[in-house]
Amino acid sequence: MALFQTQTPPPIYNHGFSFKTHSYSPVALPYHLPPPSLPLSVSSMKTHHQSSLFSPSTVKRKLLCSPPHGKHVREDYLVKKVSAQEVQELVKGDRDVPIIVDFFATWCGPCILMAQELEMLAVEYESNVRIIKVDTDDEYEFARDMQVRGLPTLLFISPDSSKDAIRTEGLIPLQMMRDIIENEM
Amino acid sequence: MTLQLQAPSFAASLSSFVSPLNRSTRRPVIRAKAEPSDKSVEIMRKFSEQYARKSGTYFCVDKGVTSVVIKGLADHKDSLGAPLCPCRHYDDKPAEAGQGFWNCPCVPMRERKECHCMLFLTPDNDFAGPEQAISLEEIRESTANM
Repeated sequence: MALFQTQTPPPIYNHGFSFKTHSYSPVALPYHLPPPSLPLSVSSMKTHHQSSLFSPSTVKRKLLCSPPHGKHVREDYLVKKVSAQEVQELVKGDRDVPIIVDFFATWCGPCILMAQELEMLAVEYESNVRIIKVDTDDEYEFARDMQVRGLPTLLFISPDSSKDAIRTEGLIPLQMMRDIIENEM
Repeated sequence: MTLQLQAPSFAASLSSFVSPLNRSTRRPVIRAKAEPSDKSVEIMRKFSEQYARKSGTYFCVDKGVTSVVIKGLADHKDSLGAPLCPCRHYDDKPAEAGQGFWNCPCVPMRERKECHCMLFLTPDNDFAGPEQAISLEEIRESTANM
């Protein structure tokens, strides 16, 4: 089992993510984005222009661009927090994509940066990689059994059950994560 | 461990219920993770500033990381009596706090200026910022949504 140990990021690391000084939640897109059906309602409004319900401004509006599909709007976070049992079920069950398990703690600073990186990775890989996170304060016994020490700890589990899992400790660059996924797959 | 932290707040909220009607409908929620006390946060904030100056290290460019770690230290100080490193998982927290290896400033920091929490960063570190100070307001703002 290969073991990467990084305390500080290597100098070639490219700062791919922006540092937010105030909020740590990944970009929370508003839920009130116009639904894709709006263009249809706008055109239908034009035919009912005599109705007193619609103001003149809404009737004459031209649709300049279609609203986004809102693929990632429905959930707050792509990386879901799961229980130990769910992790075990996922690992024991049929795996067709690599699984990344992120062990974190609430008050661990680098874990927040890692969570942001993993959200970006989740957007990039979509359904080709399954990324989940485990709170080591909640799942104390599981973290102890997995011998988690430093946080954050990432566990890369290959869909191929003959391959060993890869474990990294500390904040690692996004590119390193991509390399592990590509080489693993 | 976390339950005993909640005990004072639990008692306080119970005493505020006067009518029996309230008691049946409203029940205080016991949260899994407590917010560290303001006093501890202030103590750990002052310690972090002082130790950064003393060791010649700097806070992270992203002050949010610094804030979260300071709060983590404060949380452990409240629950264990010692500021155990928040970026590690321990088999037995009270024993570790008593032993002292991972009490901030931990041995790796004291010996080699290695802080994997990214609280104290040497100037050559990519993430090191220019500052050795952080205000309580900055800490509050950065961790407001946690």
